[in-house]
Amino acid sequence: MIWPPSILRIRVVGEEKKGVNLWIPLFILWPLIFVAAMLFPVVARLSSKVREETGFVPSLAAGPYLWTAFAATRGMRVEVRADDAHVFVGFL
Amino acid sequence: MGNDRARILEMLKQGKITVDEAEQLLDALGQQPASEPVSAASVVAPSAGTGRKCRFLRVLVKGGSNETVDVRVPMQLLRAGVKLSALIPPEARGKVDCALGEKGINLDLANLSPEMLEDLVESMSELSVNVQGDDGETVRVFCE
Repeated sequence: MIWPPSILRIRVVGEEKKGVNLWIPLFILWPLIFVAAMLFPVVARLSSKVREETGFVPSLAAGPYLWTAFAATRGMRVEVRADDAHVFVGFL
Repeated sequence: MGNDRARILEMLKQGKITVDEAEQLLDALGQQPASEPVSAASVVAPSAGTGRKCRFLRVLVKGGSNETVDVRVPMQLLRAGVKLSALIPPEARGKVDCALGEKGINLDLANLSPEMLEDLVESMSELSVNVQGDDGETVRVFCE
């Protein structure tokens, strides 16, 4: 199992050492995502009924793939430095 | 590994460790090999050139005057991205395959097996690109 990122860190420092340093706790979303995953089979069954009756195909298939892609972002980081300015975005 | 991450976050919450210490610990934890069993596809022998498994693709750009860009992309994201290509509608995929074929590239992402994908990622561990400019600029692309 791939663990999704627990924190998104965004740090922007300007030339006068002023800036923002955000630690966004993504782990707060984990329970919501867990509930959504539990409900996924029910929603999938409902969507197949919708497809049978209306011909409309909900794009539910993207769910697991997007979740995998989100979980795979753990460890990704982008850091840019120029003189005294510094920008950092990282999934921890 | 999940318990370790939770413990670090708990220590951060209780103020026992600083934010920077928590970051270092989480980074170190992320570099440990996974303790859970791995699939047969991922037990491909590491490349002979490096003898280690490639986890991140790094792009380092250094400009002439203290300007640096450092990008680290997990290889898992590459794997996930290839799997996302399965969502491309068949008619659009046909056009993409046609266009690639015209350029002499016979790559069918839809039929890319997990073993082939793993081989592709493993072979990237030997990737190393170094470019040096006249004014001291350097670009490095490598796996770590």
